[in-house]
Amino acid sequence: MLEIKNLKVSYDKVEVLHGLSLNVNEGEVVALVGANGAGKSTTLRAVSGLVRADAGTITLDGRRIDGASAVDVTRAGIAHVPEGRRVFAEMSVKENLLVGAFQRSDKDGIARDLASVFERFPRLEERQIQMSGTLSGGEQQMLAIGRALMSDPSVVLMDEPTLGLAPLMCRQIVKIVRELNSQGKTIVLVEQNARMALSVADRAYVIEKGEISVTGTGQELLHNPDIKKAYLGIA
Amino acid sequence: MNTSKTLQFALLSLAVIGGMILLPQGLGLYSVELLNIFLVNVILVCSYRMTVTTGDWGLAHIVMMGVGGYSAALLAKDAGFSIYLTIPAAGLIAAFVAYVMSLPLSRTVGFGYFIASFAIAELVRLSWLKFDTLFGGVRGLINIPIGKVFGYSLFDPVIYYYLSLAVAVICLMLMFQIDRSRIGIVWRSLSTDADLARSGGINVSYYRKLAFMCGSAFAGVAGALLVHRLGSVDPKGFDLTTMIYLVIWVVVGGTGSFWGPIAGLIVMTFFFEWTREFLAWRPLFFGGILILFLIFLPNGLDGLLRKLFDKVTSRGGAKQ
Repeated sequence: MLEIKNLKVSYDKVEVLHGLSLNVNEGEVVALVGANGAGKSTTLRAVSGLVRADAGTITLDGRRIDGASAVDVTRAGIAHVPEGRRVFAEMSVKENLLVGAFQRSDKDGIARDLASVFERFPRLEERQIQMSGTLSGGEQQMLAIGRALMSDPSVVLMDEPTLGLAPLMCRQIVKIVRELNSQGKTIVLVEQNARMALSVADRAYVIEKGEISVTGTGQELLHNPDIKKAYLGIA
Repeated sequence: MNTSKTLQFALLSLAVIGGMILLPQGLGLYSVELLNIFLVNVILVCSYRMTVTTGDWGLAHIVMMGVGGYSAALLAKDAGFSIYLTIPAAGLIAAFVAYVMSLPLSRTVGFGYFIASFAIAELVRLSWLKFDTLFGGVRGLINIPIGKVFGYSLFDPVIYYYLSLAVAVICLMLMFQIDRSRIGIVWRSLSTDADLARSGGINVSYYRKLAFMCGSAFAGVAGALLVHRLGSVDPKGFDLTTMIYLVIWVVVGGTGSFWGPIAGLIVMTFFFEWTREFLAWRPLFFGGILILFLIFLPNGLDGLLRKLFDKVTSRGGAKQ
């Protein structure tokens, strides 16, 4: 469904992705794990049109989307939940969600998706008129996910959704990822919390210094001795 | 907004408009002239807030008002347009000029935008000086026809006041609706986090241009109203000093709500009149007020009232 071939991206002439390739099939949860600065977030940002690729191709259902603007990528059905549970702090919860649905024009569909986000996250419904900056970290992350869902995407890119959240909240996020997946969303999950990512993923890629070093199913990687040593902290 | 709140709001608006209709009856002509200028400024501050909701604090707005003013003056003088036509035409022309200006401007952000907006606006303003056969140079344009509405001469300040009031009410209603619409929400999202908005699939540059054009259109309408009242227009009226006053009104009022800038305008207009005796000191007072607000009340009177309101309503300790 989503295919990245030989992707190269640089920031200010410093190349950070050196020809990365991966593919995501429809209905899968695919995890990208790796150390700080390996290029995980950059990969997501390249897919969603926030950074430009120097070389390589990105295709969605066979259509090239590299070089497309973030607007067109969103329209094509890819939603990005950026790192650091970013929300529009000075706007209400409901306004945040409506911004997520902005490039849609089907009023009924938007109302339906708003209702389903509220059903999924009852806390957000309770707090819909509250300024989102006053929400707790976990609630903000839910809002960030809810906002992405408002664009009715087929692929959801999630960048470090559990970063800085309490363990209970992390489990909640895992549950949400599974739920979304079972409802037909394809998910690309970037995580430093490799154990969590591998346990929820169908397949995973380990990114090392801008390239894929290992790939396999989530379970395979969880039991791979090198991965255990490098990313799971088990000797 | 639920229905009872909507009803309250509608009643309050009607009461204010009713009060504004009765107001000139008890006032002298000088005060009515002040009210005319005040109504122009109400449209001006609200339209400036409109562009500022995207986070684009610029210094071009007063010149956009001037574009509307010059357009109305030329259309009335040379083309013989009536005031019914010059006012909307001034808005459209200002929006068009704003579109052209926004092509380079939308490529700058933050401080770059602030300075670039001044430079490009100054370019427009200086062209009024330079092309003096069309725009009259330093002296500007005079003897701008004022016309009639329903057979009453607009020369009468009270009649003009009713025209201004009607225009202001229409403009405010439109701006209020835009502010609450999805477009208004998107504009506010840009000031909070433009990168995040972009990652959500919002065409940031398009919406910034749109905000500048819409704000400029209403500024153009305000300019037309001003110029028809004064009967003349010159480049001095739209210089940086005037722009700074506009910034002060909006900062004092606060941009958090639609009504903040109007509150700022009212307070500062009274202050302006009270300091008439200390003419030489006035810039010092206004500069001081600007600095004090930026330090102690960065959200303006609107933010202060909201804080007080929250304190009063949450005193019971219940959070919800």
